[in-house]
Amino acid sequence: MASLNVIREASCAEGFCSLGCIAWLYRKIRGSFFLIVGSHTCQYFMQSALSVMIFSEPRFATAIIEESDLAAKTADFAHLELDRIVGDIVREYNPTIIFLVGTCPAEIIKIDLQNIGEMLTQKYARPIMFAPVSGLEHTFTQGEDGVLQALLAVSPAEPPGAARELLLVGAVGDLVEDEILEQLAELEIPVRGILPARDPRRLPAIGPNTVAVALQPYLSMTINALRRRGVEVISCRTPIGPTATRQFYEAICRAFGKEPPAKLAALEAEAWERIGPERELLIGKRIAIIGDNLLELPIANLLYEMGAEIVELSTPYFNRKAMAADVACLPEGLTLYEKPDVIAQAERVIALKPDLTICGLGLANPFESRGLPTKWSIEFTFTPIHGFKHAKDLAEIIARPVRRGQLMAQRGWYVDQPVNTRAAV
Amino acid sequence: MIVSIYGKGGIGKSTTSSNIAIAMAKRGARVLQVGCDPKHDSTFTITKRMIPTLVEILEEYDYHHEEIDPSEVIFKGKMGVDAMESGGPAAGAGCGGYVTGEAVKFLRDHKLMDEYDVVIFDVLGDVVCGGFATPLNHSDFACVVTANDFDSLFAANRICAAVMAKAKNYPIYIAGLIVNRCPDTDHVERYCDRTGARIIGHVPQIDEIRRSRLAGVSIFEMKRIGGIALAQDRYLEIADYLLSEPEALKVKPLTDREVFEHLRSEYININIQRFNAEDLELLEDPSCLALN
Repeated sequence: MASLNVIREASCAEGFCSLGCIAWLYRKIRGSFFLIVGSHTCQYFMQSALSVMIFSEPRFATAIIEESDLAAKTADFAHLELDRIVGDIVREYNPTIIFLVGTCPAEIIKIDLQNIGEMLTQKYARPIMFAPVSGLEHTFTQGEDGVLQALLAVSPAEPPGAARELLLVGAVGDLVEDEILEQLAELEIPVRGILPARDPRRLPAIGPNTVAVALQPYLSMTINALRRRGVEVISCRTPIGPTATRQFYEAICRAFGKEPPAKLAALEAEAWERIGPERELLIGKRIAIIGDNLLELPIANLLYEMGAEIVELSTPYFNRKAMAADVACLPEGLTLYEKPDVIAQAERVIALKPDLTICGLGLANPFESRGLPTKWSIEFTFTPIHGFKHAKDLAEIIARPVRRGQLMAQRGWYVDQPVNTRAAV
Repeated sequence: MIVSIYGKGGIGKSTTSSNIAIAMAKRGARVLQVGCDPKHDSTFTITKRMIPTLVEILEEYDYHHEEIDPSEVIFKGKMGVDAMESGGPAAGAGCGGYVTGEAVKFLRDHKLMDEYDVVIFDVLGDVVCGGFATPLNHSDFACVVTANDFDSLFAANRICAAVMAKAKNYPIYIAGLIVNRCPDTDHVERYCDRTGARIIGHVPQIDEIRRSRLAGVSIFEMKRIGGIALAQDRYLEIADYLLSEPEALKVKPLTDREVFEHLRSEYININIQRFNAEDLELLEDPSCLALN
C-alpha cells in the first residue's frame, strides 16, 4: 500500500469549468440536448469551446440568468421561464433527452432544477434531467459525473431474476468502447451495457445483479448512486496503460468467478513491446504532473511503470476513497498536492527543471519560455488513451514533448537565464 | 412529516420551533430540528450549547463531502430532540441562502431525515432568496409565526405568497399562523378572514419565555406554574395539532400594496372619524392621516 503524503493547500482548483464535459458528452449521447441554466459567460465559454468543432451540429444552449431573474417577481419564475424555453427546444430540435445543466449562479440562488426537470418530463413526455455540474462544487471532468448521475436516475430497474452482468461506467471514445466490449466478449464476461449509453432510449438496467466498474477515476457521485441501488462495485485501477488495463480486466474476471487467462498478460506484454521506444526514452526522466482533469494519478502510475521519476504531483480534487485503487500503485513516499498554491508550485517546478511537465494550458507556455518542455494535460481527455490498443497513442502524447525538449536543448533553443516568476507577472 | 417555520425576523421562530419540537417529543415523536440561519441560534435550548454548524464541519474537511460521516452533523439534544445547525457566513459576507440550500441538500443526499417522525426547519427572517426557500421544496407544511402588528403581518403575507407559489410545483401546504408574544389576535384574525389563512396557535406574551431563552432552556424544563404552565399548554396544543395531519389551507395572499391598505384600513378609513380614538389623541395633526 503506497504511503502518499497529501498536502491540501486549498488554493484554487486548477481546472476548467465543469460545463466543459458537454464538449464530449453531447456527441457521445445521441439525441441529447444540454440546456445550461447559467450566465451569459457560461454560454460564451461553451460557444467558444464547442464552435472549435464546426463539423458537429451543436445540441446545447443556455437559459441565461439575467438581473431581472435575480429580482424575480414570483417564487416560481424559474419553472415558468424554463417551461417556455424547453418548449422551444422541443419544437426545434426534438431531442430524445434534455439535461438541465446546473451552474454556479443557478446553485447560489438555488434554482431547483431537479423539481423543474420532473415537471417538464411530465409535460414534454421525454426525460428532462437535472445534471449537477456547478463549478462551485465540481471541477472539469467531474461534470461528467453529474451528467451520468442524471442518466442513472432514468435508467430502468433490473427485472427480478436478472442475470449478473457487468456495467461499464464512464465516457470514453467510441473506438475505445468498442475495443473494451470486444475484449470482454472474448473473456466471456456478460455485459449489461455502458453508462452513458450511446442511445439514451436504451439505458442499461440497474439493480442488485449489476456489477459496475469505472472507466474513469472521477465518477464518485455516480458510483455512490449505483451502490445505493444495490449495485456491486469493482474496485480496480483506471485502465490507462498496459499494466493497469490488464489489472482492470483481471479484476473483472475475478468478480465473475473466472480465472484471468494468460492471454491478458500476453496482451499487456505486446502493448509494452509496442511502446518500447517510448519507454526507452522515458526511463530515468523526471516528470512533473500538475494537471487539471483528475487523470493525474493514473497517468502518474503509467509514467512510474515506464521508468520515469515523478518529481511533482498535484490534482484539483482528491477523493481518497474513490481513488484508492490508483493510489495503491503509486511509488512510495510521493507527495500529492491538492489545490496547490500556483505560484509556490510554479517556483518548485522551475527549480526542479523536469524533463517534462504535464500541466494546464495556462501554465504551459510560461514554463516553455523558461526552458521546460510541457504537455497540455487536457490532451489526455480528448485523445483515446484507455485500453491496450491505444497504448501507443498514450505513450506518444508523453514521449513527443520529451523528444522535442531534448532536440530544442541540443540546438541551443533553451537559454539558461535566471528567472524571477513574480517579475514576469 | 417535514414542517418549515418562517416569520419576520425576531418574531420568535426559534423559541416557538424548539418548544414545539420538545412538545412533540413529549407526545412520543422522534424529532429533528434544523436551524437554517447563519446566526445558528435555533437549537441551543435543545442541546444546551451552540453546536458546530454544518458549514464549520465542512470547513474542517476542506469541503470534501465524501469524508464526512453524516452522524457528525446531527447532535443529540435533551428532551428527545436531535438538532442540526446549517450555519452560514458572518454577517455581511458570503451567501447565507446558498449555505441553507446546501444544508438541505446534504440532509436529503444522506437520507438523514428518514429516521425521524418530524423534521422542523427553523428558517430565518423572511424568505428572501432562493436558497432560504429550499426547505419549502422538501416540506409537507409551512407555518408562519406572526404577532398582532403591522410589520410581522406584512411579512407573513409575503411568506404565504411564497409558499402558495411553491405549492404550484411542490406538494406543500400552509398549516397556519402561530401568533406569538402578544396578548390579542384581532388583526391576525382579520387578515385570516380576508385571505383564508388560519391561526393554529397563540402563545401570549409570557415573560418566563424570554427568561427561558436567556437561561438557555426550553419552557418545558421550567416548573409548571403560572405563565409557564400556560405556555407549555399552548405549545402542546400546537404540537398536537401539527401531529394530527393539519388541514392544508388554501390561502389567497394579498399583494404587498393590498396588505398595506388592508392592515392600515383597520385604523384609518377615508372617514377619519372611524379611526381609533386613542391613537387619534396621540397624533400631532390628525390631517396627516388623509389618504392621497
